[in-house]
Amino acid sequence: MNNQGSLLEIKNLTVQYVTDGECVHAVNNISLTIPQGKTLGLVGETGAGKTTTALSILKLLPKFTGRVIGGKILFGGEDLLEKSEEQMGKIRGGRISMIFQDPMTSLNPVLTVHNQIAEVLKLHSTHLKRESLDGEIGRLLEMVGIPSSRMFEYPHQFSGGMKQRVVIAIAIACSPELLIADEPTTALDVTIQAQVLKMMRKLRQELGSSMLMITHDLGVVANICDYVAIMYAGEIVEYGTLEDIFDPDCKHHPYTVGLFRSIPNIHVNSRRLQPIDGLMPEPTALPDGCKFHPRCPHCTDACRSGEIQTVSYGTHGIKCILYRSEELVGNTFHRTEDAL
Amino acid sequence: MSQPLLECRSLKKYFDTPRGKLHAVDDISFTIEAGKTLGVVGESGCGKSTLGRTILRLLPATSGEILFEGKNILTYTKKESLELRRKMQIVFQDPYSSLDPRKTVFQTISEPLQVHHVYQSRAEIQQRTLELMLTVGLTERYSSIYPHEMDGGRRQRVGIARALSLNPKFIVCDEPVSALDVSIQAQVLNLMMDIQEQMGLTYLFITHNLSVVKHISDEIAVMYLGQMIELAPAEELFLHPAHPYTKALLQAIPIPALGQNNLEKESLSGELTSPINPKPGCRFAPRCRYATERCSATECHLTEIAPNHLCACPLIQMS
Amino acid sequence: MKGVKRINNPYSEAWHRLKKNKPAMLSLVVVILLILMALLANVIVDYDVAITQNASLQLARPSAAHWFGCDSMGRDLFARIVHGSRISLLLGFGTTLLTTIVAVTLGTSAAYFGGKFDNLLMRAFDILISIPSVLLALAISAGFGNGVPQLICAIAIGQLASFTRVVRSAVLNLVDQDYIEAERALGLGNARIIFTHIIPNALGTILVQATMQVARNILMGALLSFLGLGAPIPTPEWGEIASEGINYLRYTGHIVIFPTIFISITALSINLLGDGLRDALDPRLKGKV
Repeated sequence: MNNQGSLLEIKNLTVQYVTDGECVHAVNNISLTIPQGKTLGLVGETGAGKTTTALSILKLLPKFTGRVIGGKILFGGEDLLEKSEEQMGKIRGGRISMIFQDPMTSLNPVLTVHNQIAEVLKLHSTHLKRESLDGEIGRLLEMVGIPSSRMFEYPHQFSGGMKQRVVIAIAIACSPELLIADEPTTALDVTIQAQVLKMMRKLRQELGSSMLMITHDLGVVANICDYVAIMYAGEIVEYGTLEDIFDPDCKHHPYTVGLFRSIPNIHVNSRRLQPIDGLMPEPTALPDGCKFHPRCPHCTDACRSGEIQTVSYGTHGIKCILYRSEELVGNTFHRTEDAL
Repeated sequence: MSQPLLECRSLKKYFDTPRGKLHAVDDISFTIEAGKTLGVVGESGCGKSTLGRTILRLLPATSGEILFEGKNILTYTKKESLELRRKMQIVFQDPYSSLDPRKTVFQTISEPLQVHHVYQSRAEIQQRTLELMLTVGLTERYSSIYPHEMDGGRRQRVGIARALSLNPKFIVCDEPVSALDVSIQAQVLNLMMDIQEQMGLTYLFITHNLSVVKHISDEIAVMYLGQMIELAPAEELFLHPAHPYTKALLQAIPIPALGQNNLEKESLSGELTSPINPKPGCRFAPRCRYATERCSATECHLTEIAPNHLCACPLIQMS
Repeated sequence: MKGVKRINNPYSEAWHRLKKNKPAMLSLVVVILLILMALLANVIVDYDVAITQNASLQLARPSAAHWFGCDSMGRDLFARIVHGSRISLLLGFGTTLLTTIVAVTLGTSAAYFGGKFDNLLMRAFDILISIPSVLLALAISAGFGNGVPQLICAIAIGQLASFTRVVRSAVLNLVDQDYIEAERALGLGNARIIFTHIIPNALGTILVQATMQVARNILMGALLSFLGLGAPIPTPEWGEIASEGINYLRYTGHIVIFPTIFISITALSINLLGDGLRDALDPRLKGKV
């Protein structure tokens, strides 16, 4: 992957959770890049390590059990892992914001919406005067589609979708350079999800922020992401632009193929779905070699041990020994040299 | 035409709240033929879960009739109701709270057999339990496993085996795969469809996931704020959605493919109105872009607009 | 997601966790020793020794012949404390058993059936809770006379309200779970659901609450004996021994110190054990990070 114009670069990150007796290998030597102003979709199922990755960026891993074993997280050129807690405090909410999955529990029930947005504004924009605070809050609410007259209401007076908008308003209050969204629409109804995604696209354009969108829903990815990275058992097994990943004529990692086949697509009429056999391995007991090999229909002896290299061509990369680099070019879509 | 297995006539379920009557299920009527699946879709607050529970009499109905094999089960005696439990079962959404954490897989599945005195000897119970486990894809070694030692997909299989234990004819599936990962969802859905074929089961499949519902249902009913606003065969609903809400719902689904998501399309605006003391007329009118004043004045009924395709829209009714 | 792990019963998992907790295990050993002391009191030292008075040994300090010395009537203190453990522990455990049975019955019924019964019970307990437990115990003892059974009832009634509330809220949480609804759908009757599904799942809370009660009841029993209620003279009881010893503090402290040490060690061990049990049985600690 190329580094030009990249806002966030994760290099060889490895994270473990250690409790007495057990070591959970949550993230294993991953590297990814988010270019300026672009959205990267981090796709994977439960236990793949997506949330751990997000928490590592903000250094919010659980204090005693979460450990970063190695790697760098470069944000605007500086390694976040080297920063002190005080320095991170200035970055969180200001330059990097996070939106969590469940809007019901993300807001403090005893503070008004106004106070919760004000809190983050006061923390990071010290030059903002009292009088202009209300105006700024009103403007933010209107940006996310909430009438500013509702700013003094409490979270319980809003519906799920509106709560999530408030959460987004808090996240964008200080115009962050990077927005991390952890399954922001999973808990919402499909029509509300469509509204919120539309709003997020508009905001992203207005603010010019980059976004890390964590999701398991490939439909959402197609809707809002520019680049995609697919995670499995703590590793990135495939990455590329949106065209790379969704191109059916291109070669893909067997897990990616399995994922697409498991989703019932409303345009396709098939009697049976084709699920992937078996389960994701326990992060405390990962298999040797390729982590996916026990479930892979194309597994060979070479897959069962050793380090699996990532094969790449341009923007598209697959961590699999099945294909040669030239086979990664799709037929339908033109590849630009704007590398990741 | 043979008698449908289940028929609901003007079923209503209201809840009393301090602010008034909550119309959770409002005048619903439909039929399901034996061996078929009726999918019920809708978003939060539409009443689909309440509908499922009312049909199973886990919640007392406010009024209306539920006919199972031709007889109104709401008038059953206690003894008849107990017998009926064996024929109508339920599978829950949350694999974590639907199993007793202190019971092994074996104990959970065999308990209904013991309580209903289905078999005389322990050996028979044991054999039947193992059979049920195999049916859902759990090998014998899972007998002494506890729920917390299994993943969501396996727990859901235990829930399904438990529901099958008394040989029911009808199963209400309340979002059975929504809490599962995508690849596990596919496994469990396939399992449910296989079992349906093998055992001739009838499903009422409740979900908010439109892709899933199309896959598994023969007919689909769309609910909004307690009312059934459209009812059609699965293919037909997706090809020719009639009600504006159904159209909005279908448009909102993000497609996992390139070039198929119209990013600038109109999305549904506004919020759900309250199900407490709802105003007369069409409940979707406040959010409907085609709404006229007459919509809020006309009571909606499901009317046939094409063979087997019913829709409750005042505009369509009037034309 | 998990695959198949080793077979583990929730109770044996809890036991393994408890074993790792050193203070809790130590407390368990102490409690067992105390119970053994009470059960084998007659074997350790004759009851006669505990009640034989001896004018020449009044207020005797600890010595080789009398390990804990003697009280104001020359009775061997060690013997009195060993035999006193019977009443003290009886008060502690006996009372708790009584309270547990009543609290579990009332609390479960209130939470499971709800409605008017629940309301009535909670209002009755609201009244009961507002009376300080010591005063309540005194009133009952005063009304029904001195004696161990009366004392047990008095203490039990004082603790009933709070214990019932705890059981009730634990059961309220359980009643909402899907599996209870599943069992109703399967046609299981209320009795079966309560005894095979609700109570086993509430057992953790009940056990922990019960062990905490034991400690409090022992202290309460000691306090009431101290105040003169309880076992008739000359039956030894720790609180009563200490109470009597207070009169002679000017001359010597040993009559107060020894029973107090025993009361404290008992209460502390049971509390630590209760803490350990609570942690061991906590389902949130089951299996993962």
